[in-house]
Amino acid sequence: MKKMLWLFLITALLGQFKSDAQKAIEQTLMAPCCGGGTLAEHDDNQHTFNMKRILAALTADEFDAEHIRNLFNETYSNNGIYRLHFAPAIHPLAEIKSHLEEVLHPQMTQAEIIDLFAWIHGDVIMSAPRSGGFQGFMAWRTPLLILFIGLIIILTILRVMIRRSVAETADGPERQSRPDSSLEQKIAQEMEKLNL
Amino acid sequence: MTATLGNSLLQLALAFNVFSLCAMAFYLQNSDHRLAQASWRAQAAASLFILVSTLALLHELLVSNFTLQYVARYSSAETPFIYKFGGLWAGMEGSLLFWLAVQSAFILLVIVQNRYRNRQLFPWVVITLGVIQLFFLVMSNFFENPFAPMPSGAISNGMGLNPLLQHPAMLAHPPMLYIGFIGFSIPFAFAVAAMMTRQLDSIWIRTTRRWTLTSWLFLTISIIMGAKWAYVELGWGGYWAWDPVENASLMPWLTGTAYLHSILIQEKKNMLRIWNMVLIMLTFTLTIFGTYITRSGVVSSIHAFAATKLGVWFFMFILFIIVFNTVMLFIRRHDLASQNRLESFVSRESGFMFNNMLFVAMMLTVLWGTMYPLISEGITGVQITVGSPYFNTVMIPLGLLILALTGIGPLLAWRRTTTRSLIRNFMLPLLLATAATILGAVGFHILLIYPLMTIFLVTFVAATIFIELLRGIQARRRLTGQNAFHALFGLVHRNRSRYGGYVVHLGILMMFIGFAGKAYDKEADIAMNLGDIKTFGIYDMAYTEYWMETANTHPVERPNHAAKIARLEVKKNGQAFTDLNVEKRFYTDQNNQPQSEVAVKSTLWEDFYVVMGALDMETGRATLKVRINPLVSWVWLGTFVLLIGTLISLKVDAILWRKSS
Repeated sequence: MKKMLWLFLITALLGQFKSDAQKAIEQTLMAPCCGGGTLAEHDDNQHTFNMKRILAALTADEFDAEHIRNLFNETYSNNGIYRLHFAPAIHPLAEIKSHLEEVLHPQMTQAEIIDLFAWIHGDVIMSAPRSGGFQGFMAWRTPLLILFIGLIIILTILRVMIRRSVAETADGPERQSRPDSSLEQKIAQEMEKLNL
Repeated sequence: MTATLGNSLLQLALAFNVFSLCAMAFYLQNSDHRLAQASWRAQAAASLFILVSTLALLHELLVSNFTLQYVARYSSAETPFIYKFGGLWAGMEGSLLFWLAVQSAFILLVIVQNRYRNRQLFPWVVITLGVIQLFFLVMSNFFENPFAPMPSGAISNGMGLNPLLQHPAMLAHPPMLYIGFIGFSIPFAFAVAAMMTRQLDSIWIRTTRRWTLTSWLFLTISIIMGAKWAYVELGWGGYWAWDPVENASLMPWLTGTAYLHSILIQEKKNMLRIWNMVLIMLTFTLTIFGTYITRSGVVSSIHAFAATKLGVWFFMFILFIIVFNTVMLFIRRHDLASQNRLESFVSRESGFMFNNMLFVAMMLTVLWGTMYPLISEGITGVQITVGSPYFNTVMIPLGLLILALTGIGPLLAWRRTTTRSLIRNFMLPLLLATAATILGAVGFHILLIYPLMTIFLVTFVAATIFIELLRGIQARRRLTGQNAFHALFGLVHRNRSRYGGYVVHLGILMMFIGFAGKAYDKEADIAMNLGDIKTFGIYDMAYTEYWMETANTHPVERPNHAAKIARLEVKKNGQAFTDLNVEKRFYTDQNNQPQSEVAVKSTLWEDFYVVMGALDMETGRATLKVRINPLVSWVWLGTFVLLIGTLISLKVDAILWRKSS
């Protein structure tokens, strides 16, 4: 019953479309319960719902520090962090509270909010690798490398094919009218089978 | 009794399969045709045994024989009859047997079609398909036997089917996916046979063209059907989350699509023979890789079966296929070499090659992203997550590039395109695309870069297709004096492959329109009391009624669950729009597992989408997630158009006409 009550209270506050900032952050963080998608993609269980409430409060036009503190307290207390198989909080509640005091301020940027959750859960909660560092470099640059290598290969093959065509044209009509080697090979194979 | 029969047939199928392989191997040594005949007959018998064995398991599921572990785990007395069919592929053991059944049906069809044709290729086709069948038979007989009895004897009731699978789309999606996956084993088997016999011209490609196209069609529809299921069943409002198992089905689709385009070049120009071999081998390997991902537990996914010891065996099998393919390609590299000639970079051939390169680059990117958590953990010891934002960032530009090539390719001439014809062909589509983009930006306030690019490219490609059609109709009218409709019909009839392809492209364009709509979706979490009216954009939502239905009150509709239902009357721009019943179900045969049933009203322009979070039956208060998802219907409509295009290419009506006459 108590759970239902706060569900209604908070959802009543969210009776409008989510802000772009909240949507963007929900797409940047994985659902810590199971990793079965980003927060935006995941169905609401107690923890994902709580995280969305925090995000709504942090991105709201009106900054209510006390309300945010209460939400964190509720979300990361023993009752709030049940069944987080994928990305459990890696700091105890006391440290989370203390860290929150350091970073909390009105109009936190999206990057600051994301950093806060990454500090609490570890980088595993990020839905995509950060662009910095070895892992980020490998993750983001490899597709470009694949595309680049693919382009080089295709352009090289096309150049070879064009050169071959130009060379044949230069050789004259006799060369061009000669049957291609695959046909010759096939005739040779057939003759071999017939013992000729 | 039926279970014993099924189990015995499965064992017998293994014996016949081994006999078939041995007999064909001896035939290849001494050319005694009786051995070849014995081999394919044994293969056909093994396939029949597997089919009957599958029917036996299905029978046990339908009659709820809880003496079998498999039936007890994936069915219950309350499971609706229709969803008892779904139990066949709900678990590891059943899905392996079902894999075997689909492959066996295909083997029988291949034997019937080819036993007196393709004499040189046929023995190797039988061996290749037999080896694949052998692998799955060993898995089914020795590791994941669906007929294993309950250790403690029969139990009174089973655990029931996962509620997520109790949806009509889940009755069709897995079989279609299997048909798509396994269908690619046929062109692969012919490719191997062509390599072994050195018959490397286009015969094997022509022989398997329909198999390839049909497999591709089923794979495409199954992927979209899976997306539709995710959209209406998982309740997060989207249809594609780049989940590893979704990616596993997308990867062979990408290489299969590249292969479908690439074989056109071999058929017309005798070019790209090695490349086509690589593509079909890659596609088949990726289908097995997809099966491996869902069964090994190497990557976490909501779609995956529980991790089992099968992973190692699948890994070994994939390794065997890769090594075999590589060795064969190396040995036959001189036979496969073709004297490719090209006059210019700007030609249709090069357009096809760039298209192929992009498809393969997309596949490698998806593979990289899917396996990167494992790779990063292997290298640095720290596992990181690669979710949908990563894939969206890297795949959307590649997808738009492919879309651009879809329009550019048909405008290019074979061998060389002159500057004059380039200008002539591109001018009108480019002008139309620019006008549509400006209209989108100014008239509809679309200012995001990717949706604008999509408008530009979709208009460009659509224009190229319609201009091509108009030119063809005009030429045919001049030639035959027919009216426009008859000229169009005659045009398509004379070149099914080409114009079917254009229709498929139109379907893809419609799907891209749907994808672009994703950039403008809106979401709100709301709470409502009975009688409340809430406004969202142009929609007014009135909460008018709530009630509960149980197995007692509705034994036919809800035999295995209870449902809390809220009724909403929705108005759009003040006019009555729709009434929606939003449900939260509780499955009694699954420990009252809750499951939201999405209520959605679709229009061409947007979907009004509601999911219930909770409903308090004492007070009537409901928490709801409401979404407005623009243009989603275009994704599903595009699939229908794609289906029509593929059927035109397949000449299905011609096949039916021939059969009936």
